[in-house]
Amino acid sequence: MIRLNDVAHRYDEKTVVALPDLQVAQGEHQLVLGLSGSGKSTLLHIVAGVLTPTSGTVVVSGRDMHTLQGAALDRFRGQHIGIVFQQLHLLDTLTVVQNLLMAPYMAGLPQDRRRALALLEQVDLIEKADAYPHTLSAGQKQRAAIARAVMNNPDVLLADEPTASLDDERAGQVLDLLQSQAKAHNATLLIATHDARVKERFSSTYTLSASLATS
Amino acid sequence: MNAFSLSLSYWTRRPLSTALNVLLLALGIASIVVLVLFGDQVQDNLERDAQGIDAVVGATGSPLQMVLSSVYHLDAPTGNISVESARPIQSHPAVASAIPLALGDSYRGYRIVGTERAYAELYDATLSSGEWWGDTYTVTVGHRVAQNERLAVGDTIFSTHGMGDATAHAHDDAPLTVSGIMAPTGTVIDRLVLTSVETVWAVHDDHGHGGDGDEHSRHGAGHDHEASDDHSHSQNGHDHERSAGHRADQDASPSGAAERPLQAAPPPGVQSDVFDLDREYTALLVQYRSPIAAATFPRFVNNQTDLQAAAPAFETARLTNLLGIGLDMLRAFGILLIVVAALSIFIALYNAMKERRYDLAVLRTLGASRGTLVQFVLLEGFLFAAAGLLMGLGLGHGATEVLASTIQQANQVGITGWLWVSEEWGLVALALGVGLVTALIPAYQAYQTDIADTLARA
Repeated sequence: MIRLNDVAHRYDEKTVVALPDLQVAQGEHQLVLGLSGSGKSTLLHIVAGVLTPTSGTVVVSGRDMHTLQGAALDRFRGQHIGIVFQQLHLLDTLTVVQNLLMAPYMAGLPQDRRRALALLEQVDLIEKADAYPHTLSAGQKQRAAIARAVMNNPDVLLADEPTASLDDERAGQVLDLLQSQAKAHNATLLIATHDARVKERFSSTYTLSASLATS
Repeated sequence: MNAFSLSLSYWTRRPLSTALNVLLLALGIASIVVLVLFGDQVQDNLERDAQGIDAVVGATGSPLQMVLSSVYHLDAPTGNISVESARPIQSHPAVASAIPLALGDSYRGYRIVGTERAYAELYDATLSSGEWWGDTYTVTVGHRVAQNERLAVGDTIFSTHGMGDATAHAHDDAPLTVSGIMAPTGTVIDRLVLTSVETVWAVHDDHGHGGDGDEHSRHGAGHDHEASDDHSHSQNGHDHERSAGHRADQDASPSGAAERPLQAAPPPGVQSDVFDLDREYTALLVQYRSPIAAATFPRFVNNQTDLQAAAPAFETARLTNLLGIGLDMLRAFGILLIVVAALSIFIALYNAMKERRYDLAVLRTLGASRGTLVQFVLLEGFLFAAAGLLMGLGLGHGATEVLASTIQQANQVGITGWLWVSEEWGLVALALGVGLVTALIPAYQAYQTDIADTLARA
């Protein structure tokens, strides 16, 4: 689950981003719409715990993020939050399956290679398990990134513009995969996008307006 | 996955630049390893071979050459001295012992030293088989000589005039019997053939150099009907093959050897009058009764006699000082290489951190703490250092071994690459220090990486 109350972040004197309150129950799928600069990234970074807001309360997976700091926060993120970026982002020097294993390794969890291979099977990349990312297409990379994001059975799955660089067909496949994987792990899914193609799939949308981003 | 495989995976991204950095560091370390190994062993050998020798007395000339030739057996002697002129030295009150050396011949490049048992005792040499030389024409060979030339007790060897090239004049008509083989001592004695002074004299007399009538007649009159027999051989056009076979046959039977009048050599140190006629030593190795003699004895020799005295310790110090300048230059060059390698590794890591900003941010989102990233970067620096170190040590030791076995002189002195010298621990520390220092700033970069900012810029 995710809950935001009165959250605002001040980047500098002039730029303050205030976010509307948000509550997403465990296992629910939530779409966050907004144009560039509307605060989408700020929202995702705050939920992911890579950005600590200046004020307000953030609760992720039952945990008040304010109570976590430093390595403990990093570990919490690694174990409970899966993140899919707009631009890939796989580690170039590692094979696909090694990329997946980095998730449990960095989160301090046991590295289950069989689970990694099973996930690659599910995202239809099993034949690319030992391939390096540069040999993969954009869609394949995105699928590998999704598999890595769910490697640790996260409570929360965050996706930042997951369809931006994909054509309609690939975008559909990626969204299917995100939703099915979130469902399979009963994870709360939060997708931030300004891609209109995504909109029709979600009942609940949370719109950030550009006016909120500056003060 | 683990930290090693992650760090190593980054090497594959830039294999050429990684290889270059490792090689650069390895070359720096290797050049210092070679210097340290050579320097250490040469120094050790110089000290060990001169142990117990306070001064060398011999014919005038270069004192360094005299020390090199009579203590280390590396150079040609400065000349010979008569037995008479050696007497005042041997009886000098400051002298505890004066071991005579008669040089001039060699066996396949190994010097034959006519001396006394005291010379072997100087190096605590013991026998591994057989017995010490006794009769004339018997020799005791050093460990390396026996090993390299596959000699056993009872074998016959032929000496060569001078230091051993194939073209040198061979005393084919004067076979020497191996009476014993010495155990390894790690000193110069391992590569020597020891015999009595009388044997060296006899070998030379037997052969009759170039029809020196005066010497021959004295020699013939003095003793040895058999030697005069040889004399006639040599006059018959130096028929070495025939006379060698002839003598070797005789020598194989013990009775043949027993026939020699010269076998009744006087006990060491005691010179019978028979041998005093025109007999020469090459040098005397002098041991003082007290250290005070070091101040007076050389002056006495240099001023009151036609001989010269030199202290091995002083001469070798002079030599190593001369060499030291060159060695320091090489060492500085090695250190320069290491410094350049360190800079190069630093730049590689520094640029890598910029390139990998996004990778670092991703690792953080996957749960890595700042500390974990710092560990990764430090590990990468250490891996560079360790790879350079291992390669450098391998190269250095290998190169030393190859150099030592190619340079005949070094080979003779017994320098090896397969030795660990304590200074090398300093190199290990230096290399790991390089790894740490080069990785410090990049590690700080990694520590400082702001995930949110990096992700936002992607």
